[in-house]
Amino acid sequence: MSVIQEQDLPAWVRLGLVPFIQLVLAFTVAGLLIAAMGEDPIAATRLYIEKVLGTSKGLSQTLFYATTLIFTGLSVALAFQAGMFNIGSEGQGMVGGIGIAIVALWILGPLIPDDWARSSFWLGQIILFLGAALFGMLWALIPALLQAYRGSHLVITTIMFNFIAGALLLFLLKQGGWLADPAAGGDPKSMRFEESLWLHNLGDYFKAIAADLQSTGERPSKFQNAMKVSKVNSSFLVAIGLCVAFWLFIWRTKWGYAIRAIGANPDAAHYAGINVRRTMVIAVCLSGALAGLAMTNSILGSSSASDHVLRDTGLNGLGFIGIAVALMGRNHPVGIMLAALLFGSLYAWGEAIQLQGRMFYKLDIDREFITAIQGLVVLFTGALAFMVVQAVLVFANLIWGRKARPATKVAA
Amino acid sequence: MTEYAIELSGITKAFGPVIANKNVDLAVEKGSIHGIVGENGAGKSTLMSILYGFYTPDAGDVKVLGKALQLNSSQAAIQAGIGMVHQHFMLVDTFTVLENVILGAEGGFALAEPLAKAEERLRTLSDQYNLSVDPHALVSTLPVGVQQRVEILKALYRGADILILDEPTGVLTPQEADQLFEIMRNLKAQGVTLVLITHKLREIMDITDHVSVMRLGEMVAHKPTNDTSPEDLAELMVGRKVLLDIDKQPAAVGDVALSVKDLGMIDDRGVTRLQNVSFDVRRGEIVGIAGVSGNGQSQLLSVLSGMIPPTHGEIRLGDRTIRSQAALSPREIRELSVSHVPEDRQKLGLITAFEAWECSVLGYETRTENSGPILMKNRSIKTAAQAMMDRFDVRPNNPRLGGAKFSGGNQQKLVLARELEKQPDVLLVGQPTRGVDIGAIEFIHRQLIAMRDAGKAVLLISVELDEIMGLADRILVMFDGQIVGEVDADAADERTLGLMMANAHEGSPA
Repeated sequence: MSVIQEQDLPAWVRLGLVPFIQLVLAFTVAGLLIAAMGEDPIAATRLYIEKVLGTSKGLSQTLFYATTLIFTGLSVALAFQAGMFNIGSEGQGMVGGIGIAIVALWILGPLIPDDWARSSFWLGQIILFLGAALFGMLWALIPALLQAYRGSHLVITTIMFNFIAGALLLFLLKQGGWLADPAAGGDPKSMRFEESLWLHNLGDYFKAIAADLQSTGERPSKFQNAMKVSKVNSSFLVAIGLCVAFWLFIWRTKWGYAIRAIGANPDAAHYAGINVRRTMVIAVCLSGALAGLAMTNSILGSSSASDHVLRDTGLNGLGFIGIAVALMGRNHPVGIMLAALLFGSLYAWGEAIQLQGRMFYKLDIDREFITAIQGLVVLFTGALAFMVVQAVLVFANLIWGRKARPATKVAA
Repeated sequence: MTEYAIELSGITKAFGPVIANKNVDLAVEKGSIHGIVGENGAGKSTLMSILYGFYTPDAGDVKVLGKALQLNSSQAAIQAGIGMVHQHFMLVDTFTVLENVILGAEGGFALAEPLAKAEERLRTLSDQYNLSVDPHALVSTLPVGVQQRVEILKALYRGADILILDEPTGVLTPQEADQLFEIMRNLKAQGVTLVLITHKLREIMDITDHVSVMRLGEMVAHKPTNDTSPEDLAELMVGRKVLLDIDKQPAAVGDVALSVKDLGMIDDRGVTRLQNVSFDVRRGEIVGIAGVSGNGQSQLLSVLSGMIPPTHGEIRLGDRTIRSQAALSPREIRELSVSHVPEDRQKLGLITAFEAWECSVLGYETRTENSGPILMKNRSIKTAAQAMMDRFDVRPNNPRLGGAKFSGGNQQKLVLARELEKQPDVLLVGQPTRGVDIGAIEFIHRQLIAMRDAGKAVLLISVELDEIMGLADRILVMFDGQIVGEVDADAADERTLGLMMANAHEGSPA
């Protein structure tokens, strides 16, 4: 009789059942927390199901946050494939935002003729994506070089670079700063980007449909009306495209092979003739580029009147949540997409709690409570992951353990 | 009646299927210096770790000073009066000598008072045993020989009257080693019992009263040092194991494929690892490099394969000359038709987290047969890997299986398949059968002979003398980073080789 190990478990248990149990545990504890606060966990659950999962607005908010999280999750995962822990996605995102502002305000802005101002400038948008990626990459380059050639630990340097990025952002946006809006007063924000540079937005698309319909006297459907507020934009498509590209790059190209090799066994990679240091730098730079791209969704994408400017808030912590997304998604794009959707829905839940909690659900919970839930999800899927695996293994051994399993090790 | 400081009887210790100590007996007289010799992997270190409480034996009894003891922690060993000086020092570099000595024996919550007391005791000890060390010097500023003295003091401070020294001269200069021997004689005169573990026969002859020889986990001889000789010990160490019968035709030697001239290598820490290494390997011959491990063979392999740049000399591969000033990367060396079966397959030869088919192109993943301009040709790599695994009888022959799921022998066959199938001009092979079962050993040996017969130049590094003697056409012996002798395989016998490996033969550079 052989003892069943984690790798012997069937895929549906490893990738389906185990994460499911972990999430159930996380949400159960979250429910207990809500109850402990004197609020009704059932109402909170109902709000989640009805307002986040049950409305097109909730879903589109989920997708909006998920977009940023896919970028930052991929960013962390790419470095992880190379055995590097990039904690700097937050700062790299901020600097990506600076890149967007510089390209939009200083380069493309003056170039765009006035009569283009309201039409969409496709090429400009592509250049903005490249600018975001390039600046994010440059911000990752220095810590990467320090790690590869000087042995300074990437975790430490990227944390420091997050602080530097925050200070840099504030310096550029404060009153009189190079990118600051002179009319903003004390509010640290940039000038607004030209409308032609804004990303296409699902809400705008449905608004246009509704307008068309109204001009012919028809009434837009309930769905079409609801979708008018959607903030999901073209960067979502880019994020999905990058998931496919990530998979191809990591598992189908020689560069991905080199990155995985240095991540799994740098000595063997050196033996193979892979330039370990250079590959390390490349991986971290690409990770930074992905983090920089995350900013496109946040500042080129959203649609409310005050948006389309660069603010000192950067990614608002979504860079850090990318670590959790990558961790939960097991550094695989499919897992990252699913994890990003989960965490995105938590953010949408937080919004819904704030907007509708008190009035419709008698819930007096602050939206920041979702931070606690995020923490619980990370705790149960990451830090305590082994606990659930162990429990599942005990059951698996009870159920299947007595059957003879094909030996995986065969002696010569 | 003789009093014994240590009596071990019937000690057996197994790690999984590997038996490190088999029914070992040992008796060390009180107040004597007792040597334990044996090749690497003979089980000396395991035995001493048992004595120091790191491992509990599966069977057998331990008596210290006539008292039967259960040593299940090093704390218990220290209490029994056993002290250990490890090969790699266990010192905190940034602490002073005094701080290091009391580490783990601070004796109080507040340090100040014990520190003063400790200093007094330390001075007494230094005077008593003639071990002069400045108690306030930072350890990092001390030369290696003095650091070792601190280790000895540390053990004495804890009340040790039995000292185990594990390969103590490995890191010392000859002068420092002489000083150490002086200290050891001094300690003996004061009644301390010393156990010296080494593979250097000269040290045994110089300083010990008794010697025990270990081979393949067993104790094969106990002798008073006066009744033995280096030749005698070498024979006992290496043993008279039956040679694996290796069929081979006389070598058909061609022109020189690999030529090494005056090769030298100094590592990051400034230690000279290779010095004045010169030799040729011709097509159609296997040149074996024998030596006790740690004498530069691994570094030679690393330098030849491009993993570590040489600091001196040149390497000629065919008509290409590589000088130390312009060393090539492993990939560039590989492009010169050099294949390399590394010494450590798990650490270097393959990536255990990868599947077998991915491992089957490690080092060759950028070649046009394996990768297009962007995408790798995964389908054809898998097909080729399947064929490769069938030809080399890798079991299970499933290219989708993770590298970690193969046994040692099959991992090694996978590495050999990858490197041999490239039909290289020069084949570098390190420890091809380490940790490999008998069936696979035979297969691997046949493959290496086949390479030789196909006119390839093969350089074989192995700590298994049998293997070197069975496979090689010429044998070079390395000691301390230098080649100390060359023997024709037909003329070689284990005793002379063993002596050369211990650098104890006549006319050796001291």
